[in-house]
Amino acid sequence: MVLRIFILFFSLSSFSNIGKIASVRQKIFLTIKEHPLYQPQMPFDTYYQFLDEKADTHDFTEFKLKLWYFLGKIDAYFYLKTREKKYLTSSRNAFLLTAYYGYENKASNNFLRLLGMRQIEARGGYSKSKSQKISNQSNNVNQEVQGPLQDYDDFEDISSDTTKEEKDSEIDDLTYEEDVNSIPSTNVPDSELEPYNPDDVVIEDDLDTTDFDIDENLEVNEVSDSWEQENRKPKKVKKRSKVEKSVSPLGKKFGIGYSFISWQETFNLTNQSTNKDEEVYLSYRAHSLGGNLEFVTLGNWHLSSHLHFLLGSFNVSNEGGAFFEANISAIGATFGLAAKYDIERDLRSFGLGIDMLYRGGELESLQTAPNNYTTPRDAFLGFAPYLEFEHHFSKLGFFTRLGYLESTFYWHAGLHYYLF
Amino acid sequence: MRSLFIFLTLLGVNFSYAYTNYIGYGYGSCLTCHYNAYGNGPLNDYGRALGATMISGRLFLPKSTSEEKIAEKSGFFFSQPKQTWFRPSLDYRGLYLMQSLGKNSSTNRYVHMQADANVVLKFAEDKFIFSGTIGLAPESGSDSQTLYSRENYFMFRLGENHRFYLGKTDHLFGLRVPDHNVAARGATGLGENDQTYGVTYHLFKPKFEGGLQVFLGDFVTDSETAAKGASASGEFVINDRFRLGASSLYSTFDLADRLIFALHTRIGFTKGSSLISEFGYQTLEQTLGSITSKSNMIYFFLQNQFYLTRGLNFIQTFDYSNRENGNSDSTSWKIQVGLQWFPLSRLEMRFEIGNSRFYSTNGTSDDNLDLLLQNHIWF
Repeated sequence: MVLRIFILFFSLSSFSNIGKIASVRQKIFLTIKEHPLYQPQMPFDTYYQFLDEKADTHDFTEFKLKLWYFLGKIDAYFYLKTREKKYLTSSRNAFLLTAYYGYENKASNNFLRLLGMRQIEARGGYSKSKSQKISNQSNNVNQEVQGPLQDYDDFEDISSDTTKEEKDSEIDDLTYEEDVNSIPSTNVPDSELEPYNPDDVVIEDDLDTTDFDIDENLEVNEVSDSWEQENRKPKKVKKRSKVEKSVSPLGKKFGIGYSFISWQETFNLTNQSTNKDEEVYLSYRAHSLGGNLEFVTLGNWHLSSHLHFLLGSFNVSNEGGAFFEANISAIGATFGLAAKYDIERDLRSFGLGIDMLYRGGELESLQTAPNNYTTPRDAFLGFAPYLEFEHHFSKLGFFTRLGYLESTFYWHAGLHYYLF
Repeated sequence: MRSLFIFLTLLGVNFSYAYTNYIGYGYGSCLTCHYNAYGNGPLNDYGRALGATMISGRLFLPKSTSEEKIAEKSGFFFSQPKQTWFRPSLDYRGLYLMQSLGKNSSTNRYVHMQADANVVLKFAEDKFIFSGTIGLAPESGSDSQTLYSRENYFMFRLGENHRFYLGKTDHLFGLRVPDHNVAARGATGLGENDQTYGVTYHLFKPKFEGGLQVFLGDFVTDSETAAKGASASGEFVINDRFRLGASSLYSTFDLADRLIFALHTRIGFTKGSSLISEFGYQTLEQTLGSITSKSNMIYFFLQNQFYLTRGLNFIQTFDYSNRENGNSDSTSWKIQVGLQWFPLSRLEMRFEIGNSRFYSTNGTSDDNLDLLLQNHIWF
């Protein structure tokens, strides 16, 4: 019964998209995760030794090995798609286990070879209660091609091996060199790996069954073809956090927000009576509502734009405070373009940008008696280069922008709520 | 990049301290690293080792030097403690301050902010602790130094969760940030040299940390201005990187009555980044002769620490205050940005530019730009 249900999972329809593959992967994971031999991120050579030490204490049914075998296939597929080393390590270890126990030994070894490892001979055994189709022939084939490996030292990562190997006749259209060059030379330390979560895997390109199917009948050649294609066209894959899951799949982000902004302007007024200039300072502060759009994503870099509408007021004084205007209402706007870099994706970023700042308002009282000053401008339009930092909390982002405007700071700080 | 920092160092760049921010490293409680559960004061052994291996960089240290080796050398003058009961330490902080840059009134000066020697005595598996500090501090309004003790207290621990402090400590209130020039510290009577004698209780629970303090002011230094009162402060631990706190303080002496309330948050992000903030309200009633004046102040402090690489952080500080005194209403903003760098254990440098903006019902004034170069060395 269990086997039937399991086979159902692996029907073609079950693999119509990556989400379902991940779902199946998750089910296998839940089934075997407690098994002492399940060490998906143990370095390959260590895992080989580990198996040697522990294998005698564990018996496998054909069904369980089948789970392992499919896990290896799925992880190999994920690795092809994502190029994340954790899948490579997990897949290698899964095939190592199945090859070790002699389950689909030939195919397991071929997969191992495709994953950059040498072949091994079966050492353990398993209960063939359901079928005898797991052949000992495959062991013989392996011995003919490579010869059995007698100990751990013979079992090494071929990516560090510079000698030419014979091409496996079973693997068409894929040379050994191509294979080796595409594989990282080292295993990933456990500390750098994260627990597998299928929800974290997002393939940017669309996946359908015409592109690459994984089912029970998946043949090695299919993998090798895909492998070759992938080597030629590595696909960009990103890992997404909870924040981005709620965000557009195209990597675009749009948030609306509230912020506070302030800058100071410096200009000269001309006293109409004496015809002398006096320097004055205008301090503007405003509450703002607006939006932020990240519209281009290149790796960790984003191009973003923002537009905010300002409602605030300003004060004007000369250095001695001899004349002033206080709390004059003024609307304004700011429009900026920035290049942002993710220090940690969807958690922290900084960027460099330039803002166009506009302030309305009138300096009426300065122009009339008793002041009688000539003002060079009422409204203001200026440009300020700025440095931006942003922290994310789920859909909320706290940002600060610090810019340089007319010999002083322009600053802008607030919250974004990301709609997508 | 490294040459840039060496250059900055040679210029005499900044050095400082920061600490409430370390919730960004997952350390929400000051108790982990300090003898005083509310923070400030000398570091315990664990705090020293943590500072050396996690907070500080590895400048001039070869790759072959293990973190364990660095931790072992984090004791007093690079030593490993030979006993459990005696922990001495030295602490120095200096500030080169360039005020009002680009103005005729521009001034430059160097201030020895702190030059302290401290001894901690611990007994009965740290159930009893004495901490005593003596050092030099700048006299208010002058460049000269005076002998001053910022801390001397006995601590008694009852079980794992209750601590009692008797003696001189900082006031129990809000965020204990080293930026004593911000309104949350300088304008509330909680500055760098505003410690008090009193009794302080500290409660530590997984979901709550806080306590009470009854204080008598610093009657040893100046009995006339010693403000008596009480305060309470607590933080709810939402999770190990998010704390929400509240504080209140009342103090009184012949010339002033002060009441402050504040809410604060501490949010940690991955890899040492954090965002801390405090929002407070103060009423201050001052008496000068026969004249009594009352002022209210709202203040907001926000500090954004951005981890760049091990030992190097970018720090932004936003300091806002609005004071209302009779018909006068004045607002001041201070934005400070800069780098905090721990190139190696025992050395902290801070390089910051500050922009102050002021406006009131009477107008505004030209912005001030200040440059702060701090250094902090401890043994």
